Amino acid sequence: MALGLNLGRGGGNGGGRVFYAHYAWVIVAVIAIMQMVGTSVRMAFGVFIDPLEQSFGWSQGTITLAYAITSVVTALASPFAGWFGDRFGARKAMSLGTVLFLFGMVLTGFISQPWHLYLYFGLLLGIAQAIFLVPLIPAAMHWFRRHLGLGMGLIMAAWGLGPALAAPIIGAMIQYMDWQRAFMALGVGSTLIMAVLIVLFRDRPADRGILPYGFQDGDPLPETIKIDPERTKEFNDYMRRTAAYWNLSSIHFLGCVGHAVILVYIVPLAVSEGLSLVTAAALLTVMSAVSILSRIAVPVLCENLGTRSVMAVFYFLQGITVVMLFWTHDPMMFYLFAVMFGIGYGGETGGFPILNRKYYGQAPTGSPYGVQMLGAGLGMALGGWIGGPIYDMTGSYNIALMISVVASIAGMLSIIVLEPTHKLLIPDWEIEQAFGGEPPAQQSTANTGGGDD
Amino acid sequence: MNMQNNNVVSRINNARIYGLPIQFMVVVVLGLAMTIFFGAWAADARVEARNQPFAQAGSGAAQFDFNTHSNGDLAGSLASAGEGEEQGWERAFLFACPLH
Repeated sequence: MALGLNLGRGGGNGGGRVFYAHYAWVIVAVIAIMQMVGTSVRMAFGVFIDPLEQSFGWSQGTITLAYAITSVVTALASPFAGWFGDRFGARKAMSLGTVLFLFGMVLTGFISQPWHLYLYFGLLLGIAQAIFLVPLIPAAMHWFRRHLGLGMGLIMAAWGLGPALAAPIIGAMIQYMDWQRAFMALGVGSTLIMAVLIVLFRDRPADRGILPYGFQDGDPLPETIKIDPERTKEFNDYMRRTAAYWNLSSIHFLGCVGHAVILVYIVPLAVSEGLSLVTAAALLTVMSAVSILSRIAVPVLCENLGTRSVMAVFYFLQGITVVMLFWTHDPMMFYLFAVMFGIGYGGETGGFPILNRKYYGQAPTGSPYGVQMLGAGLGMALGGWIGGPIYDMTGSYNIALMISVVASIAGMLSIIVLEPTHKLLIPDWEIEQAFGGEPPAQQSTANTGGGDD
Repeated sequence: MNMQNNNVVSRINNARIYGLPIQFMVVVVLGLAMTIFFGAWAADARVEARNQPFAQAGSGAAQFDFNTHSNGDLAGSLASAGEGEEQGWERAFLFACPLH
């Protein structure tokens, strides 16, 4: 179905070079900005707590419940978002997400009751964020035949940069206008940015008449027309029968429990050890900043050194550094912890798209990635919540810290026993496409270049 | 040696419970168990604290220190809740947890 069309090489193949000019980098920038803009409000939710409390006299528990609802809705909507992206394309998913985002943001500016906040901020923005987070990653994978790790690294770096930029910008907006206007201005302004990004975005290289980044002579030609939904469904069935489909979700869950405990409770823990609130809050900034480095590096390392080994190392780093907190009492040690934990934490997530490529090849991976993000979201919710009751009951975070360590190490062990990555776990999407019928029994390698383990 | 490792990996990945991989099921069950246990622990202590609002710290499970609670929500919500009355989420956790 793809072979008869005239595919230009407008993107060039780079002559085997790692870096060269190609529209794939525009797609990477579009996705990175889209995810930063679309998720910035949730990332900076803390700055809205005081203004909402002052306006309505609601308790902090009432207000932060909206954050919890957004997190859970985002997690639960992730598999749907992945399916939507596979079925209708990431560009249409972005459009739907943008509409939901605009309504969610503007309507939040008019709230007067807690349930308004839960409906507009919790539900509408929760679904919008699932759409921004899930289908765009599998879409980026279509643009890279090789060197996917580079593209993924830059997108993942944006996940670390987002929180660092969002809070001060939104804080300044609230200072210059009231929070209602800030919500509306953010909603309208972000929607305009998103509209430009949607115009620039294309689901596949063929939509611009070019070949994917890193394409070399002899590689199977990618599809040039819309993907057949029946074939997508058939391949999703193949994926669901693999152990990795489920195990990657539980591994992401464990990894997120491991760092959510720290991200939520490091500030109160540090304050209880005598650090000032400002010094303690800066620990989060250090973690985010350091995590940007490993977010960029990990997908590249996974692709070149072996995905399972690299992911296992970073899960171990994330877990073992938390042990430091049992003996950490002074600011220097807390900052040392923040640097070391930031390395492991930043590397937790970047390997998943690479593993999807290694296990499922060029097949649409919106569905498995959605299930992985469901695990991640539930892990963030559990890890973020569990320290609260534990502290209330015991007056200490020690049990929560132990749970964080055990979750990360259990994730590492689960990664070690994942299937090897040297061959696809399902029939090859491209070979099946070339033969146009039943997938041949022979399975090929993912052919992304670099290391398998 | 490598072949033996591959066999172990293969056996683990092929082991299924209700059609789902054993690793995944273990994480789901432990995650649920942990949520229910800690949720019921919190619910149990809140109910006890409401029944004995002036209980001193150190008397069993309900060892609250309202002053050190991070945001005061617990103290506030306990004060606002009816004395001895269980809220919906508390009832659900206590019903689900066999240890509380």
